[in-house]
Amino acid sequence: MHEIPTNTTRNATGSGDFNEQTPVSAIVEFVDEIKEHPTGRGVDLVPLLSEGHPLYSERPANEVVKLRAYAMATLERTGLPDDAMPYVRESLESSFNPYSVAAAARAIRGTRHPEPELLELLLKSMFHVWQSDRPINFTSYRVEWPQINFSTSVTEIFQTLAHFGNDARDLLPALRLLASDPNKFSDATYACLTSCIAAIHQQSGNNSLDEKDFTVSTVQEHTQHHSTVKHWPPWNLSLEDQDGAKLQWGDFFGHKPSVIGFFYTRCGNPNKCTRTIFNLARIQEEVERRGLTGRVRVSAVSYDVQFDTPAALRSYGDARNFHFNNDYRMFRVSSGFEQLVEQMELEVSFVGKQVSSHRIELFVLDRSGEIVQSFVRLQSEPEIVADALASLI
Amino acid sequence: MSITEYRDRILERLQTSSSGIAREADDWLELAHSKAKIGELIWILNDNGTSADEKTRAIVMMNTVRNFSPVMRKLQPEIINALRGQIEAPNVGLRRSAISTLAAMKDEMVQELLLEDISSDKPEEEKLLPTASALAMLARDEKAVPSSVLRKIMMSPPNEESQIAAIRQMPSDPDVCEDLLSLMKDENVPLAAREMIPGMVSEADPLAFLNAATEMLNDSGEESELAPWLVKGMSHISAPEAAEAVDSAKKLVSKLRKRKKAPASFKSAASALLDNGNKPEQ
Repeated sequence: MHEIPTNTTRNATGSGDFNEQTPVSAIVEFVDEIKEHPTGRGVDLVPLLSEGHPLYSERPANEVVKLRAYAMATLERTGLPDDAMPYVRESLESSFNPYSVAAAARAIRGTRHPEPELLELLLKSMFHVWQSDRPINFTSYRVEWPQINFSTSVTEIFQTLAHFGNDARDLLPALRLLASDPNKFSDATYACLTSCIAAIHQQSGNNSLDEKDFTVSTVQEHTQHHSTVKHWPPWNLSLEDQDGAKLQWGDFFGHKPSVIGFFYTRCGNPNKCTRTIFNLARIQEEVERRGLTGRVRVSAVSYDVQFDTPAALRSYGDARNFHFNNDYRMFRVSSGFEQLVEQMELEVSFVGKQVSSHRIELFVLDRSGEIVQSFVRLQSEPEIVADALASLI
Repeated sequence: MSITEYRDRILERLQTSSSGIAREADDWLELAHSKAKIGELIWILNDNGTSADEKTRAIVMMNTVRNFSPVMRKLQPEIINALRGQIEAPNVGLRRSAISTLAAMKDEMVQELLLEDISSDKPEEEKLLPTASALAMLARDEKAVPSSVLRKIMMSPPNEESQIAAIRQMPSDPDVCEDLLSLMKDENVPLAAREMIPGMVSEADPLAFLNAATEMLNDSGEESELAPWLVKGMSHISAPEAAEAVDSAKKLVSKLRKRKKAPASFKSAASALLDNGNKPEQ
């Protein structure tokens, strides 16, 4: 139980066979089968966590969230593979959906000793869902309501912290502060919080935590080299910028080191697209501070080709301090966006032309247009991106 | 009167209002801040022995204080759990109250069930709510209904209200312009649905819209009920590639508004298009 799997026992029908036509019941059956026989099966669930999986194409946004969360919560039983960790951290860092946060909280219980930093992130994620908390039940994909016993996203977080006891001892002061005012919570949630504090207190005593106890690796920054991708760079891809100017990919990229962030103006998550653009604005400031103005390019490309008109791009950028000039631009792809999704391995799913789910995606390209570094799932640090750009000059 | 004076006068009026109203306000405030009283309402919703009318009243009371009740925010999971239990209540009033309250909270569970319902081929009377009502409730979340589902309802609606609701929520996507234009031309489609379409299509596909609109104006003239809406749609177009077609359409509108039979609504729309609304032609 709770072991990182070392081998893969694939089901006769793996998740790789799933696509947009696959009924929800078949996907749920697949996950439920893993739930029944969890040993070593965490890796089978990892593909279901990716927004780019074909099975999420043309599914309503709610369904995508629920299916991903259902698979993620099951990692509690199978053990949490390293490959699943970026998805878990992404949910904790950027999701405001109680179901997703609760699933991530559960998944963490699938590891032996999470890093203190991960548990801190878990506690912080409580503030994303505290005011929109929901009754949660992962016993099956569809449960009958009302439930007599249910958890909530907030109680799932407390239960996970309690589960790790001594590993969560650094969070005791914060938890005690939360518990200082019982009126902040319902009776059930407050009881869960006090039990959590008691469990951590009881297990921690005066123990000191040894560095070697941390067995789960941190999220690695994903670096992808696309030299093997066919037709890359897509020199002839048609773009339209925030002023309606039409150009080709090769007119902007492949001349100076560049950064591209992906976003769409209708994104409802303030920790995703809106922060990506604020981050790009901070990258611009960093570029200027280092005297690199005119030697690098900063851009954002929309996922929402139809809705994000030039006027929408400009107003979205203006409102987020994104400075526009010849080197700093926002684009929509006039045609062939699907090709770009494939070539850049973007993880985004659509219902019709509407984005239903996506990850955070930011890439650094060198002066020949090759991708040299990518920052995905978690928001990048502007200084690190600026370092990457500077190293390419 | 300054804003401060106005505010003071309103406050004074509130403070000296009848004691009955003040008492009622006190009752609501007490409910909003009482864990025990909100807990009682939750208990009523979960209790199998309580009548549908009592449960509906409990939901109404919760909705009344929801926006200013700190207790309700804390008890949200318990409240949502209880409300979800009434989504399929046999009593229509109770069911509708529970569903609309959950939909206002953008509850995923209710969205899932409503979407399943409106996507199904069930007869209207077997659905949780009529399709038009379900669409109105789902409209609180722009991602709740995929455009493919809206399109299906729009083209094969179970009734007129559903068709109007589906068109109202349909995103102005160039892919659906052809369908929307075919509905705009179809006189069997209710006017309340057709009159929304020019505003939606004229920006998404200006040339196709101008083509259809001028054809309709030539065929049916300025007296048709839709004519003012067609002209209003033309005034939304700013795409440079449609400039020539807009000029040609304006000439037609200018000719039609000079006719004696041109209704006031048509003349007003024409004025907005041709005179920027402030210089009506004599």
